[in-house]
Amino acid sequence: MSQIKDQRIPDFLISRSLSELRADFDRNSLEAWANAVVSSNEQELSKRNAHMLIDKMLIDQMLEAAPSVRSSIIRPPGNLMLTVFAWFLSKKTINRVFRQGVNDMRQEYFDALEAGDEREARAIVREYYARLIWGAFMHIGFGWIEKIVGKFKK
Amino acid sequence: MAKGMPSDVEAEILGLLVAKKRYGLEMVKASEILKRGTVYVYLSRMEDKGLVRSEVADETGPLAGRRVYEVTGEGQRAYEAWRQAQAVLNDAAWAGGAA
Repeated sequence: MSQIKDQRIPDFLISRSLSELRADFDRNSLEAWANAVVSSNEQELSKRNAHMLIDKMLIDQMLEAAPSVRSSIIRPPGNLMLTVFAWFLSKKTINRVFRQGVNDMRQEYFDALEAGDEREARAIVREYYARLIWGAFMHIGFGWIEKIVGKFKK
Repeated sequence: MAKGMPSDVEAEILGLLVAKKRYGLEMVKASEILKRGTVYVYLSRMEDKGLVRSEVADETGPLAGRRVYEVTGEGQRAYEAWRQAQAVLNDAAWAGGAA
């Protein structure tokens, strides 16, 4: 097993991309540093292995240097609205009317995100929320008008 | 069973569906008078009247439950009746204007 004398990354390498670091590695003759981290007392690492070891150390260092970068899974927009609407609208109405609207919203939202326009994606969600809430009032209104007209016809 | 003449919005939807099956969003993008969010209120009512029918196109994923719509025979007849009525009204308007 090889010993590593010094695993500390030089300050000027921190906060740079791996490709930049590799480019500098060749340009700035950092091979001397690569050789220095591998002990010559025990089994000597090949140059390629030494490079891989350095890459791993660099990646570990970069991950430590950027603790705020986290991936997370978020729900697509519209779940909350469907849950609220389910309190006062029938399942048939939800599936036929509002789930369709939410699906349209998600499609346009994902298209905007794919295009890299987060601002547009948020605007789409706001607009759809307003339209679908208006649609809910409209749906309830139609129902009331039909009932009233039906009573007059009798 | 359809009752009476379709409204202008319903006729617009029928006109779009006569050509081919479509999603709601597709219809909104192809039309100037249909609005996002409210188009499904009309489609639901038209389905109750028997003018259109729908089937679920996406079973899974974030767009699960998405429906594709097509016109029924009743819907085609209603659309033809609406077109003929519009033609008669247009002719009457032209005749009135000419007199």
